[in-house]
Amino acid sequence: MMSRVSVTVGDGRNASAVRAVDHALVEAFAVCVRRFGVQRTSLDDVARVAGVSRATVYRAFPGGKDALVDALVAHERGQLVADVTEAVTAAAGLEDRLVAGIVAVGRWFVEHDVVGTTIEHEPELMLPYLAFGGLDRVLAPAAELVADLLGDDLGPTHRLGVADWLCRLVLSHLLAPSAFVDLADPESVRRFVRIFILPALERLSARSAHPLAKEPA
Amino acid sequence: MTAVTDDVRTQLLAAAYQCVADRGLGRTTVADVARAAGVARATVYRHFPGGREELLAATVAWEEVRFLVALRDAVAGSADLVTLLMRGLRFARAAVDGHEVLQKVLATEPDRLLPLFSVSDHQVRSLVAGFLLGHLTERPLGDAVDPLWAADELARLVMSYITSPGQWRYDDDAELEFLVRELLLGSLGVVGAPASGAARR
Repeated sequence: MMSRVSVTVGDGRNASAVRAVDHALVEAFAVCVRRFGVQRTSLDDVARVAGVSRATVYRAFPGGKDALVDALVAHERGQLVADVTEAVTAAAGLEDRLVAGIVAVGRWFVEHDVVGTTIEHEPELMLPYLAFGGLDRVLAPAAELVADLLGDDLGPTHRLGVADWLCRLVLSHLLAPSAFVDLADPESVRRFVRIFILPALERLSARSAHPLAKEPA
Repeated sequence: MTAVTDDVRTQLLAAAYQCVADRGLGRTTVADVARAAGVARATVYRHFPGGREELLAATVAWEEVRFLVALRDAVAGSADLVTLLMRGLRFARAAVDGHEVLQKVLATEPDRLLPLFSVSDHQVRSLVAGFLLGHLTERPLGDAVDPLWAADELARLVMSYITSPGQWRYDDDAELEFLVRELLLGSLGVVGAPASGAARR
């Protein structure tokens, strides 16, 4: 989903002041969503929590609640991308990078409970993005990020498909936790990576790029 | 008074499925299902005390199981696990794409449908994992691999690719084989020979 957070073009001073208000409103919206859920949060609630007038909210988000939802999603997703990128680039070696990245996702999910509580209490809002065609749309940018972060370690062919596979594994555990692996626990994730991820990636690295191999569209 | 029996339960689920096919999830009521099945509303509530929501969740699960039974039949007699998974994915993708009721409800009422899938998600995954476990343990898995865990991971991936195909072309043998050998089974030590033309970089 594209963020519709509006940043009014003006002189630099005004632009950053507007961004600060937008950010405060998105935070206030997050607080409301955690308490009441998306559907029962009104723009009045956001205004009250943020300590501003309703007019201020409308000026910042002329698209109303839909625009706030888009902005919150973009904000949460931005945080996740930043956390994962930071964790992976700080680690060395494929195993550590995989563990760090997956733990970052697991911890993000626990700590950014807007997503978790929405899935739990208003699944009808989240699930269209997490199943069937909706899932494919969420996976595509996630796979691109993973492909950027892991590059050659994904093997010479079908790199996006391999990245997509990693994302599916992790997402499946986020949405339907198993007794076997705790994504927020580094030791549990390390076992998971060593048993279920590294051997496959090692096989892929041993392949040569077949000249006729086709990347998926 | 109509007794609580498996036969009646199945009859009610079939009637509910037909109501959903005809008018969608949102407009299927207990009264509609009772009428379609030729029973009293009380009979529906006796079998589904949770009412409409429980009935609809059970209907989704019932259709899922019917789908899995068809899938099991489609892969029966496969010579090995790679072939089984390739045939299974190909069949399942075509079945999902061609499932008129599912596609219609996904197009018109996904927000009503998808929470109903979640109700049975764990049990359905157990069914798939249980089926795969038998095939996984035919070959040595590798020392560290707990077969129950391996079956669970494989079931997760299978269900994920069946419902959300991603960019893979399931009618392309080379792509499908890559998906099955390298991604579904690559870590499970199940597949015999390494990929042909392997060269150390």
